[in-house]
Amino acid sequence: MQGDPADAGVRKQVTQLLVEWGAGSKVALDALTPIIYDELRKLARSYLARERAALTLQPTALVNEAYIRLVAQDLPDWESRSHFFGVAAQRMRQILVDHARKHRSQKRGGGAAKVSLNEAVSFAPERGSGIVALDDALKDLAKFDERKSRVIELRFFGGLSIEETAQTLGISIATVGREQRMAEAWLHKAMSSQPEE
Amino acid sequence: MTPDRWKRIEDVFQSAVDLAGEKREAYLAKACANDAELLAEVRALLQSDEEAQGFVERQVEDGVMSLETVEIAPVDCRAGPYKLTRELVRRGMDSRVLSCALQARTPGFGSPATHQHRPPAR
Repeated sequence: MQGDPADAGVRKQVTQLLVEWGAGSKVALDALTPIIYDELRKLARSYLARERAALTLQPTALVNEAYIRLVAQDLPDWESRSHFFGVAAQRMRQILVDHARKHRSQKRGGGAAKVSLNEAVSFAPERGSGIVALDDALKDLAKFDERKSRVIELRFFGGLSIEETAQTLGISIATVGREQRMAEAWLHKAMSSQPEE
Repeated sequence: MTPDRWKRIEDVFQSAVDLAGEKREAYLAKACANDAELLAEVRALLQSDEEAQGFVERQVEDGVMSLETVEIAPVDCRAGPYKLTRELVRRGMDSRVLSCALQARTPGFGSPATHQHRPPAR
């Protein structure tokens, strides 16, 4: 990641938004969304650059970087950070899924193909459909096991470590591991049996 | 899926997943005795568990990377404006991709006025 740190003025703004949001302001959370979106796009670009260089990078590490850059560590205590991570993971999921759904339906409508400006070979029309299927499957899972759905959301959309996930949900590290493993098995099974789009 | 049913599936899965080979089979036979459906459910999850390594992560990666895709109209890029493409290549961009993108986004693109190069005078 090219990583020049967000400049001091922006950091201050974001910190203020986080505090307001922590106090329950939906307006503040709405204001944070485009900032999170921009961070995600920067990370996606750097990820594509690294992929071309054939370096492997875990996407959850990238998502976690977004939070660090959004000055989550400036929040006053662990409870605030934990609360932030919980909602931010939800918001990150929403951003990614909304984007994928929007482009997917455009593709169906106009027959448009999607091209990444960074790809040497043009077309990647399937890109983005996996995350929509994941979102649907997660919603199904949440109907009968909310906690497993939260673990997946925090770990993969929030980029939280197992320890952070355990603290956020108030469960043991071992439990997080078990929850995650079974959730992944269930999701993979649910998504493998879906018909092709 | 009732909560009780799910709990039962989970209990058996969590115990079985840490076992291997004969020990796993013996455990499953005992735990799922008289419940063929339970056995089938757990087996399906165990199978999925073996294949699921990195699966969820890849879907999220897919989503993150799709933020960097660009919509273009379905044009035959091979018939695109190759003269303009050479201009783009000099600027160090992916010529084929950008020529298609520009063609789609610029309605009057085919007209002489938008070409960077003119055909040689006769």
